[in-house]
Amino acid sequence: MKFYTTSTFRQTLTSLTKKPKEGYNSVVKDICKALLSMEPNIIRETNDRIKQFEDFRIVKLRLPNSGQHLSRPDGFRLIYYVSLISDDVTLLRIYPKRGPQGIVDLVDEEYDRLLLEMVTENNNKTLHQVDINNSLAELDTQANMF
Amino acid sequence: MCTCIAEIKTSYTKVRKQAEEVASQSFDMDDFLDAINVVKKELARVTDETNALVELVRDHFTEITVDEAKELLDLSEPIQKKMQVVYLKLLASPFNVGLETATDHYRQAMSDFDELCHDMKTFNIDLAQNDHFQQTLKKVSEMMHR
Repeated sequence: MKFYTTSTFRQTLTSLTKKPKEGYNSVVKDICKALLSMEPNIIRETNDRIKQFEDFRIVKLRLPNSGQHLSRPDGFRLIYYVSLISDDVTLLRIYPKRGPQGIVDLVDEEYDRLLLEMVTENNNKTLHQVDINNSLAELDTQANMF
Repeated sequence: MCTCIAEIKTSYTKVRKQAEEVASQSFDMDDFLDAINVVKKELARVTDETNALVELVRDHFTEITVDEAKELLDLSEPIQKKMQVVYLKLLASPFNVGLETATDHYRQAMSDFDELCHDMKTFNIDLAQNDHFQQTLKKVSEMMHR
């Protein structure tokens, strides 16, 4: 499968990793480990899916925070879009459930904004394609899906 | 329409009854070890049932209609309240010392259930009836078929 990130995803990821003392340093490892452990059909069919519309799904994947030994309920939430007709996955947002940057849940409007951002950046070819086998290293910074 | 709605409602009733049973326990028994074992067993039961309920609903999450979601959220409210009562009693109990792991698992189950309820309200009720969000979903679909 091909993985892309939006600017909000990259910003929230940076914000989690820039202060090691906050306890979120394992986030990249935890994201990659989770996605690598899932077959493509599981990435699409996971029980963490929250919305299905025509040919795509939105997933709110629960991840552990291995750095703090927190299990999935207390770890991170990874919001991603997955196509049901191609091999594309776009990572939209990452946030922790606990700690200084902990969020209980996103507000409704945020989901709308994240999807619109993905559409805009896809159309402008400003999505970044990333490698989950290499800690989300960037393969292409002027990418779009399809 | 969710095909498993009857099964989900049965599961809700089970969890509510078990939460009520644990909430009605006196946490003041004389025999310390016996008391801890009893509470641990009851706690494990309600934790397991709650986790099973969450998994069952997640499995069918995207099938649940607006009306079904409203009905399930009505069923959820007394469960959430009872679970909170149990949790506060546990924290205040002298048996808390012997129950940290069981209490933590219970807290995680409670948190997962709360998150499920929030997601159901967001996706199956609020955003399902939000015209702007429906338009955004169409834009994503159009992006996929350009």
